[in-house]
Amino acid sequence: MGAILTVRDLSKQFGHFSALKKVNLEVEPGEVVGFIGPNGAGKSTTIRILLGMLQATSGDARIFGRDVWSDAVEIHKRLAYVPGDVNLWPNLTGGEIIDLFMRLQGSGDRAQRDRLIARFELDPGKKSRTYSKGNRQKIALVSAFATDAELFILDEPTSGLDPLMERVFQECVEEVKAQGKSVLLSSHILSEVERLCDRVAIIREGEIIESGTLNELRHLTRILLRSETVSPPEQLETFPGVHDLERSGSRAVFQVDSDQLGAVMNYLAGLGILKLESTPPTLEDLFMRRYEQSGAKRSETER
Amino acid sequence: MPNSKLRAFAGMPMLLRFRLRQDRFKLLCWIGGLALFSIGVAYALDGLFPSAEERQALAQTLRSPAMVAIIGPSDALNAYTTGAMFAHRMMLFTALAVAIMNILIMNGHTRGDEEDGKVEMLRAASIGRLAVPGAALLEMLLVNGLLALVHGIGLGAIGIATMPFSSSLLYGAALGAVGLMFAAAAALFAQLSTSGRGTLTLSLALLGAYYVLRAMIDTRSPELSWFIPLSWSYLTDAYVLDRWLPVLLALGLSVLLVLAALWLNSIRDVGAGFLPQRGGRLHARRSLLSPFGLTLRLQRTMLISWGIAMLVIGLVYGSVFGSLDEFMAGNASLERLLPPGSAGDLNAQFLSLLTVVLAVMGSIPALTSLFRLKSEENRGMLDNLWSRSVSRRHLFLLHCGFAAAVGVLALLLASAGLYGTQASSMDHPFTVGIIFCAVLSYIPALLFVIGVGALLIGWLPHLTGLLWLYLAYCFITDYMGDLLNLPDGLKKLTIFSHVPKFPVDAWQWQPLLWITLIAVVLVAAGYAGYRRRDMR
Ligand SMILES: Nc1ncnc2c1ncn2[C@@H]1O[C@H](COP(=O)(O)OP(=O)(O)O)[C@@H](O)[C@H]1O
Ligand SMILES: [Mg+2]
Repeated sequence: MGAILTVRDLSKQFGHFSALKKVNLEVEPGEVVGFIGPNGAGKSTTIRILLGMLQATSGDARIFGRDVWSDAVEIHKRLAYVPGDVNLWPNLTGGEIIDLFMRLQGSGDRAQRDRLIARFELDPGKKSRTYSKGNRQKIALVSAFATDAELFILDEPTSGLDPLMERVFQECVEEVKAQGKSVLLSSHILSEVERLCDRVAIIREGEIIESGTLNELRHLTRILLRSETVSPPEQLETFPGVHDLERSGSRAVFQVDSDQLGAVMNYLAGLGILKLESTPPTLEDLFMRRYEQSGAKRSETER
Repeated sequence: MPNSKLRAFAGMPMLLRFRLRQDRFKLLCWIGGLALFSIGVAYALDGLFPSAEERQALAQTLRSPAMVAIIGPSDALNAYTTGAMFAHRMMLFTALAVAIMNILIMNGHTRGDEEDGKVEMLRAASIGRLAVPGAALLEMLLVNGLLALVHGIGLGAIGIATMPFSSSLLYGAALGAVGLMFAAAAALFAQLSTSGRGTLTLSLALLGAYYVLRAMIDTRSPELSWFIPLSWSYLTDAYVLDRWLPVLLALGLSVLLVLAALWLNSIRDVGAGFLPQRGGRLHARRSLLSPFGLTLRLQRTMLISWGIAMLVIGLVYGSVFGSLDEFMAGNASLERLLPPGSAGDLNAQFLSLLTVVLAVMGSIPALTSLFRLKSEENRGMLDNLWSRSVSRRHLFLLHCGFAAAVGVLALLLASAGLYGTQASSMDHPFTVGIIFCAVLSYIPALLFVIGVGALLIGWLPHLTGLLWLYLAYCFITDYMGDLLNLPDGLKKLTIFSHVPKFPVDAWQWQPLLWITLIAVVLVAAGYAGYRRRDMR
């Protein structure tokens, strides 16, 4: 069986504005793919094309081997979607909406529905007008995970959830993954994607700028280290991959490329570590690095 | 401790200013619309019935219990001056409209805001406990005061001899006082119920109950009418006896209701109410579980309101036939002037004029229903259906079909109302068949309007507002085109003018079938656009 979802050279124009420029994306069966990028990068646009709500200007997008535009209804029977901004009819209760969503999707398990409502600590008897953003998101999540869809398309699904509920959400994703289902998870927070995803695709200004496993992308990331050692780390600046070093006596603050981390740690250990703090790379760091690289490449070609 | 009592109202002036600014357009529409309508009617009545005999003939028809039940009694049926006629025909209905305005605004600013969480935000911003209901009540005091003045001055300024300023001010004051009373009642209900919907239902139910009660009392023992607060409007007998007592009663009751509302508000928590709260449904009923069920549920309130409105409009128009009939019968000279049997013609002409009006009216709920397809899209609600296995075709055709059904139902209800009152008030009433055929012959035109709406939704969804303008144009041209002396070319632009004027003209199938066919083509063309356009 081939890929569940394939996107080839997908472009979308809004008037003169190019929201997507030749985007490529793939989700294999049983895979969780992270789709990350800053706000306005084109994640939602891509997803709305995948759902047949927007028509692509050019390119090809298929889910389950079918065209996302012309076979939308057939595809949607086997797919669950959670938007980032969940809009609900104010006069219906959460319970009513979940039932309606499950019926319209075409499949679903009542027992699973009730279990999920309990896990997400949702009160389904309230009118949806009284729900906070997080609660509205829970409605969409419960409706999605209670169905037996084969593909889950989640567009920033946790932006209103508190950390505890984010944990429940991550468990849900892990469970559907264990059942061999596929997930496309969009986010602008790298750490969220990191925990769940087998692969990530990074989009910026409508272009996929990187894609691969997180390990493959490690070379792009730097870790911020703060160290205090018994003897001053005088040779630190000679290591390849160490950047932005600030040193005062035995203390140092610097960034190190992920693939050079081992060598640097060995060196620091030899000096006798008193204190060591590390901050994981953020999406912003990733972009920063990316800017520098493309900037460097550009200046090279210009030269 | 007067200080702490004052603190409960802290921030009220600021809130009041904010509310007035926020509401100014809505208030202008309500007050201006009501006043202009009243002034226009007074002016028109003066012109239509200039002589005492004509007015007396009309008064004769208003003695029947059916008419008393609908528009209320009058003490002046034996000396029916223009002023008496105006107050009799207009007071109760205008008071109803003013009461509804008060209820809607009051509910929105009290329980409605509370439900949306706005009140909690205000209280957090160190605004006193009673500032929210206090500001809303003050606003309604200003609004009703202004309404009273505008009516009083406007009606007095027409210069009709039997409508002096002093009586006109009483007329306005009666409307304002009754309005304020219902604002206060809504404020009280807002403390009892926990939802805006519940508050609205209770308030409107009270208004409806008063209307029905007074209809029963007025036809049997009118003196008991003094016990019904809604009757205080026409018990002022403006332009005849000029009683101010009912106005004072209404103001007194308003004060009591306001005190009760403020007291209940001060002893309850934000979000809480005093009536037992019905827990919401944990599961959907089977009837909700389809796009059709959802559409029905979302539009239910709108449909019921319009259904009642269409029925009442039919009833009121039907009752006018009786007046016309008696007017002709009582007017021997007029009867001699017209060729024999032409009284029937006049009735038929009047009927065909009414049917156009009803058709335009019936198009309003149909279009409102159709345009939900667009407003739901704008609010991002359609994503919920779309991303599941509901096709664009299903949604589009569902809304077109639903709108058509709404329109037809509206016309049926109006026909039923029309038939009911004209049958009981005319000597030679129209048959059921003629009434229903006359009204329902406009179904194709209604479908045409829906077709244009569908076309707009499919291709130019941001321009759907234009169709309302077209409908307004149709109303003006078809209702008053002859008065305005419009050229034929302009009159032909309205679809309603292409419907054969049954029963004045003979029944014809052909134009109706053509219009229907065009409507179907328009819907199909609309779908062609809807199918391929981006969803917001
Ligand atoms: N209907 C539209 N018309 C015009 N521009 C749009 C429309 N929808 C999205 N955009 C633009 O496309 C870009 C991508 O938006 P979006 O896909 O929502 O980003 P993301 O989901 O990654 O935050 C943004 O610059 C946005 O302003
Ligand atoms: Mg987005």
